[in-house]
Amino acid sequence: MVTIVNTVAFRGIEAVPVEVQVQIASGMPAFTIVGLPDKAVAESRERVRSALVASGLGLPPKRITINLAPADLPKEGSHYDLPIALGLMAAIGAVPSDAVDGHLVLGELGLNGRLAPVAGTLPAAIAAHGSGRGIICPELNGPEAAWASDEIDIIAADNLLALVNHMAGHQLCSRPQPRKGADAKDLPDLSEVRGQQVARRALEVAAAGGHNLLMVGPPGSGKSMLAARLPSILPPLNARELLDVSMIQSIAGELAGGRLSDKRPWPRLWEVVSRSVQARSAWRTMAYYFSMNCRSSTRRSWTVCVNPLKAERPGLPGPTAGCDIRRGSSLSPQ
Amino acid sequence: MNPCKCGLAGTPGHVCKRGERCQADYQARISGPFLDRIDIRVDVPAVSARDMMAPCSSESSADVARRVVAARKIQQSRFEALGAGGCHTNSAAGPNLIESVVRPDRDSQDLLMRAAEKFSLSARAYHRVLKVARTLADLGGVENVLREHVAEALSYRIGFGAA
Repeated sequence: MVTIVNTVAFRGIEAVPVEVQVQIASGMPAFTIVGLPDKAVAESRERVRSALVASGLGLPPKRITINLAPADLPKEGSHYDLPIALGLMAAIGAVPSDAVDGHLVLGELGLNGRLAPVAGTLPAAIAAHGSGRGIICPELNGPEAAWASDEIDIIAADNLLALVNHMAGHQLCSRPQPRKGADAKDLPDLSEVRGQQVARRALEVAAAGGHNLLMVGPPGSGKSMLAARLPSILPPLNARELLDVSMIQSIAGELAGGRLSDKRPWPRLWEVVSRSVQARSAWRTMAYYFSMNCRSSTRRSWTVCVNPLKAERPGLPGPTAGCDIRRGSSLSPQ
Repeated sequence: MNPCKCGLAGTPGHVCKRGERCQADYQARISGPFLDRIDIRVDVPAVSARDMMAPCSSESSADVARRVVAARKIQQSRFEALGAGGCHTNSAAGPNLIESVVRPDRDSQDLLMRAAEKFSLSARAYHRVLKVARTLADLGGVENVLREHVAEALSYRIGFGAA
């Protein structure tokens, strides 16, 4: 008998449905994960085993096989721990097998059974809502998932035991509420810039028509200062843009506390490597976001943005490729 | 970007020991095709001490943001009226769409023609000038694109690197 738990894999910001199939059969004791798992997924065996022990359960000495279907889609990330653990618990009868049926599950487990936050909860919650399912996720990702819809069923637990108790009806995990991030008030203001009337006008025109802008001048003349004030004169993100930007932030693990903000993302440009990405309109916001926001999260954001494009444009540079503009201030406000 | 390696090219009184090639070589690091795709290029000269000491009287972001929002609303309602709801800003408009919303008068056409010949504007550059001119008219709340708008749009494309 095979127990099935639904989860997702990420292709860019798109959440692709993945089934975690768990089979416990007689034979030599073994614990195998198949279905193109990467190193983080393969290591989840140890985390799952320890978390189950910490929750007072042990794995049966049988042949355990986990298949992540579709088997030809590479699985990356640590969010498969919880679906694997729940699948195993359902297979050994520790939780009712129908408890996780209508839910999409994601979460990372600690050795003590604590659920650690994972990247990509927002796109996963949107995918779950689209397919009429609820979502089971770590407590810290709850507020993020709550943005997907008011109606979606969210179980956000702090640890594996609390989750099991919630399913059994002994303890209730309350529904998380969406949280709003900082608003646009604390952005740097254009009144701090002295002089530069021509550049100020150009910045205004660029913001009004969504034009790109190149500023040329000696160091210290105020190019970066002007550029950093562009978000303060742009209109707040509309619903569609907010969703796009937040989904990228979610996948890159940069959505602090699940707080969404209509503030336009802005990087420290002087530490940035600018890249020109010719992207189709659906990816434009992401490419923009990347080019604006690639310091510590560079590699991950870049990978997120570019992987879906690579199939079409094999020539796109990797995350460590050289830059086109040194100390550039090339902006493309959308 | 900086105008040259030390960044001081064009500053009054500055003489570069490396000669004029330094500036040209530095700026050539950005390719022509890339620069052709930039709508607005603007020189940001160094701020003098006099400007720094003057009382700060520049406009705040909120005032500028109001004009930006008004201009964006004009663009959005125009594109929606034309059945191009997917296009929100002038920069995103296609060639046919932008030609249908920018109808330069004779004066502007003459100016565009002369500029295109003198500065060998590419076809892409021509459309980008129209887009910027449309934005300038929207910012000014003017229905038709006038000569002054085309002239300002052209000024953002030519004469770059003179600093």
